[in-house]
Amino acid sequence: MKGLLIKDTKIILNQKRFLILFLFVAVVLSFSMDSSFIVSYIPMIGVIMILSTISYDYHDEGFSFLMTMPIKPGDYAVAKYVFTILGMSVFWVISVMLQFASFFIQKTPFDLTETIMADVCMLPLFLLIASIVIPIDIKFSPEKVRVIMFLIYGVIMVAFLGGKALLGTLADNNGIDMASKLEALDSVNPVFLILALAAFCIICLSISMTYSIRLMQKREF
Amino acid sequence: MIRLNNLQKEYKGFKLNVTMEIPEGRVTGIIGRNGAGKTTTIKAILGLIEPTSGEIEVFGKKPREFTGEDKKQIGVALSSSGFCMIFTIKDVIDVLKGFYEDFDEEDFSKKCREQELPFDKQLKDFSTGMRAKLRVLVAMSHKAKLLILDEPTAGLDVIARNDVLNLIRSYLEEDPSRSVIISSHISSDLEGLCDDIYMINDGKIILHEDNDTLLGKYGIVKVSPEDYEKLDKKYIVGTKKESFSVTCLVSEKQFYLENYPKAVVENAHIDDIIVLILGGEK
Repeated sequence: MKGLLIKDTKIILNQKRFLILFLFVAVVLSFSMDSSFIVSYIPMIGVIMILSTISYDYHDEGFSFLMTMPIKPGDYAVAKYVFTILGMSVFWVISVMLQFASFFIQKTPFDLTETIMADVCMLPLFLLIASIVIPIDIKFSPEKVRVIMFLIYGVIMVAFLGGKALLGTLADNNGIDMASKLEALDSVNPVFLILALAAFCIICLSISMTYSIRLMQKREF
Repeated sequence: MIRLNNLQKEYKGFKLNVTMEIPEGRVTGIIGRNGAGKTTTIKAILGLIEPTSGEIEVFGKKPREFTGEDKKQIGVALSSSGFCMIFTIKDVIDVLKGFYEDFDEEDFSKKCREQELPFDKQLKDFSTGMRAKLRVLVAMSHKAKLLILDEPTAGLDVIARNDVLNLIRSYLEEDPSRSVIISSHISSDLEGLCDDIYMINDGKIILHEDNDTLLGKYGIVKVSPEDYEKLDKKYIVGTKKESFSVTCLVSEKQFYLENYPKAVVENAHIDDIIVLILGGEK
């Protein structure tokens, strides 16, 4: 496991040019626009970078070689989830630090609790993305993954826009005021919301990881 | 140490069916043409593929059930895969330290320097020979008791090939109880290194002999077509007929030396054996 985590860290650190450019853009964005955007931007790009390590493992039959190292195939899947959570946390901490630096330098007034709550709410979203992407990355070759991800984004967009239109029509037909319903959500304790989101993410991650472990165990290299 | 009993693996257009017994403390060579089944056999031994049928045991266990600890006993160099190409040797050292407690950094670095491998260059900028040497050094880096090397000399010039073979010899000299399985399609690599040779063709073992027997007892007998008719054929393994002569591979060259003074009897090399077994008539 330790060897796999070091390998993935090395893959990320070897993409120096991309990392520097990415952090430069992040700093520029955090001081030039709404700094809350940075808390979604940096961890999102970070997660994409972290998950790209799987396609590096695919190249030149790297999987065959990795499976001769002292690990079981399932360990590879577990290490990928651990690395994603650790890496995403690092990128998230960097983004939060940049956000607060921007607040202080630009003297923007902010509510500490509210800001932290909003930032924490981003974490489950990235974990959900990882839960979907890791098994796909493990099961399919990078070329197929690109097509599948394109299709998934399409389905999500259609579902989102379609759902929004459907809810709007249903609300109009039944005389429901959606705005007041959404406002009612504000009255829910934010800690409860975060805990509920966290529980949902843990369930999704567990299902995803169990499936990825099985994929690796069945796979031939 | 390794036992393959009627091990079968089927792919579209290819079927592997091998039986092998590889004892401890020996250097075993697997020789055959490209696509003969050498890599598939090695992958089965390493548990990288699931056999279609048959039995396979390595250190008394099924390779697909290997734990990390079991794998630490084996050092592997695969022909077409290795560390990520954006890594440098420094990265490789850090990763190996993470995988193996027994990784000897000082010894590994020393050997890399001896082989003139650059520490700061990315592996993608290495020459074919450099990559091959690194693969073998990585396999040896944690003092495994079994080395499995799949085509470690493929695509190398004669000097790089010698360097790789010398690395293997040094590894065996350090501890004679170590075992090596090496596959190659270059017979001369195996002739001077192996104790045992398995010849594989079209997914089947067509010959298994002790190397000394192979080189000491096997021979090439050249006779005229007329003399060939009078030849006792009980030790003939393969025959190649040409316009004015017949070349035979025999498993007892002494018999023909003693009984057929007119025949030309020469020592057989693995290449001759391959040509006559695969290309000749039986």
